[in-house]
Amino acid sequence: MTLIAIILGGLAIFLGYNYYARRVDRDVIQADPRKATPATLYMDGVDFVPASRNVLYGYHFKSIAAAGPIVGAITAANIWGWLPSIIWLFLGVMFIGWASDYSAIVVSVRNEGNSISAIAHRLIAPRTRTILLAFIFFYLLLVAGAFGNLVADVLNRQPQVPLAIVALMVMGLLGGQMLYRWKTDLIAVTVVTVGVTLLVILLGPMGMTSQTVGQQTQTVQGPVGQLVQGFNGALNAVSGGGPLYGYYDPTLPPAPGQQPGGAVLNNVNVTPSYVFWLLFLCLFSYLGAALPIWRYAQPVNYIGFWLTFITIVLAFLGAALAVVLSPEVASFKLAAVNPQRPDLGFGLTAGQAWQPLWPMLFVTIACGAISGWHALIGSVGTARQIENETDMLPVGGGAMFTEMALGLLSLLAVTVAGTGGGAAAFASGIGLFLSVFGLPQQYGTALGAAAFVVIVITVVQLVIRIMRVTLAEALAERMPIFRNPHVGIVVSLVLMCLLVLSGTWVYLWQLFGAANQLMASLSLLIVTVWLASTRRNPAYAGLPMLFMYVTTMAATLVIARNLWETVVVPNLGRAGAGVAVGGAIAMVLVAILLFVAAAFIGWDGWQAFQRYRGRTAGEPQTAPARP
Amino acid sequence: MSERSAHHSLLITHHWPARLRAWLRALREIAYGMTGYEFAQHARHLRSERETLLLLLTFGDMVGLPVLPPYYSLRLLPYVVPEIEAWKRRVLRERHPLDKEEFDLIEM
Repeated sequence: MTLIAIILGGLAIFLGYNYYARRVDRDVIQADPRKATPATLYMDGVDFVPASRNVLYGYHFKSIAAAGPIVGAITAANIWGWLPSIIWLFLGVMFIGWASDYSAIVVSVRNEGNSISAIAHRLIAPRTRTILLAFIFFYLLLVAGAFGNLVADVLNRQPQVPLAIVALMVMGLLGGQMLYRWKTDLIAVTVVTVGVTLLVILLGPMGMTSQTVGQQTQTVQGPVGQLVQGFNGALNAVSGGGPLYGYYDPTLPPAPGQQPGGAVLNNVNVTPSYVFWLLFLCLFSYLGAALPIWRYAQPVNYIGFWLTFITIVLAFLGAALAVVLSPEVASFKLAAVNPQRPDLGFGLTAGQAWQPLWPMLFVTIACGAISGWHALIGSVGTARQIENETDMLPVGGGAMFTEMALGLLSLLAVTVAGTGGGAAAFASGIGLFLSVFGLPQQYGTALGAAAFVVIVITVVQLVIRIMRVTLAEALAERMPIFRNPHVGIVVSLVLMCLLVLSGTWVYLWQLFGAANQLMASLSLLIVTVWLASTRRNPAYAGLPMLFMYVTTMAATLVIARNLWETVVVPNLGRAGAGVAVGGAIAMVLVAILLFVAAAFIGWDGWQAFQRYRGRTAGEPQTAPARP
Repeated sequence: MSERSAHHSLLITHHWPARLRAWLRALREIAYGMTGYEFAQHARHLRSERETLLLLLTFGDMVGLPVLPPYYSLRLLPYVVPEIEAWKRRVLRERHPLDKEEFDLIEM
């Protein structure tokens, strides 16, 4: 089954790229190899540096491929089953995802290398850029909350993983020093830092055994795991072994002992050890945000890339070869359609969470199918290095098609592992794929868990960094204290912790997805307006834009409703649930803010579109000045 | 024939050893793009920050800043003339708030 899915994925990429994307590039955009790009025109040796298409493809793919396609695919498979998820992955990237990434680069290249937000300022309305900046901040906050929750949970529950993260921190500092100060060769730096981190990862499960006691199989940790377990136990003894507080999360299984129709029991218990690992994440992120980027964040990111690359490539090979070498691994254990949602979530019940396939699937799987963040990266970084206009499609569109493969692998991993928590199921699936080559499953699972945490934690540290910059940009004029970077970092970390300690994870992830997809639809809106302003057929961008815009606006409202009905209302008045209620209300407000911001941009974009469509001849009109 | 079209020709030629070499070269470039390219890019940015600072101190009057005595500017002028145009464009270009940050590292 895994091989069939991989072949179908390859077919989707082949057909989408060769028969649709290339046609648009040739007939609508009319990429011209003789036209000078900003990189060749300005060539300042800093930002505008022409690079070969292959180098740029690798660079752009690395910039966009990370935890998004992994987590989204896992979450969607658990909610609706693997079949709707895989269909959206394929169709989404074939008709929408590649168009978004590619078009953002095209618009930037054809507008002197300006970013999407600068172009929006000129083409649509000056306030669009301000609204986009606010959008980016809340989008980053949601990412930090969703990913922070994931990392703290895995570090707390998987005692063989934390030591690997400590090793990553130390090797990151060493890597920056070796590369930039000692001028060590990159290959040597890679071998040392990645090699040591990999060794420490494999130390984690060493000595782990499984014991069957009665009907249950228990895992006995090795020395490293026992050390961390002992540490967690000592921390939890502070609260007498009980949680610090608890609340009811409707998206998780009910607590043991929950009687149908009886009093609602807490199914989320926040323990001292969980809080400790959250603070550990804060320390990790603080270093990444405060130190110069070459000193810590960049080398940590580099090491994380290698760990993930090795794990993903080996897992992909294992998934493809499993049908021959180990057929029981290749079979799907997760249902094609979730038997608890045979109606695909369209049967809406008052008082219960609504998870209809439309619009919720399209915001749960974000980055593997389409992502607004890619448009931002493409327009600011990649577009200024495009050497030739004919490189825009293989770099922008090609990288997005390849990212779909990452989402597909995550989906396959959780599908062969069966049901279970997201990160644990992913790690278990990776362990199964790697066992095809004879690696004991506990080591493959440890590698999968560590790769997952690494890929997520490296995103969190950089997100906090950007939040600090965005806060300074927005508030420093009125509140000079925000010029101090440490203030910005602390504020960002506090906001992240509040979301993590109070947020309902699935809704947090879906709200992040909604913000991400809204950014994608806004970037497609800017592209559509640009196409109209240059008298080109806007359909290939306009139709996906309409679909994503309506879908994500609807999803934002559904998430706000779910938060109110299933978190605020049941937890109101319950002892210790104030944190959850406060967090849910904050998320509802964020959802409303995103909705209103998107409505403004949509209205301005519609007016701009009408303006350019009504134009008869001459230069494109710029946006009217607004206060 | 330019190097680019020669390279593309190699990818579609039926001459297998040349085709294989072209594919291996493409794979090497992709690998470089995924690994070392970001460090080269960051090193360029670090160097440009120092160059920008030096040029601002010595030729800041070109962009509206008060400067050091013109004696030093004139001594350095022959060396910086090739950089002036690019420097002015870099300093005066409308900036995205997140330009300075390497937020291409923030994969999503």
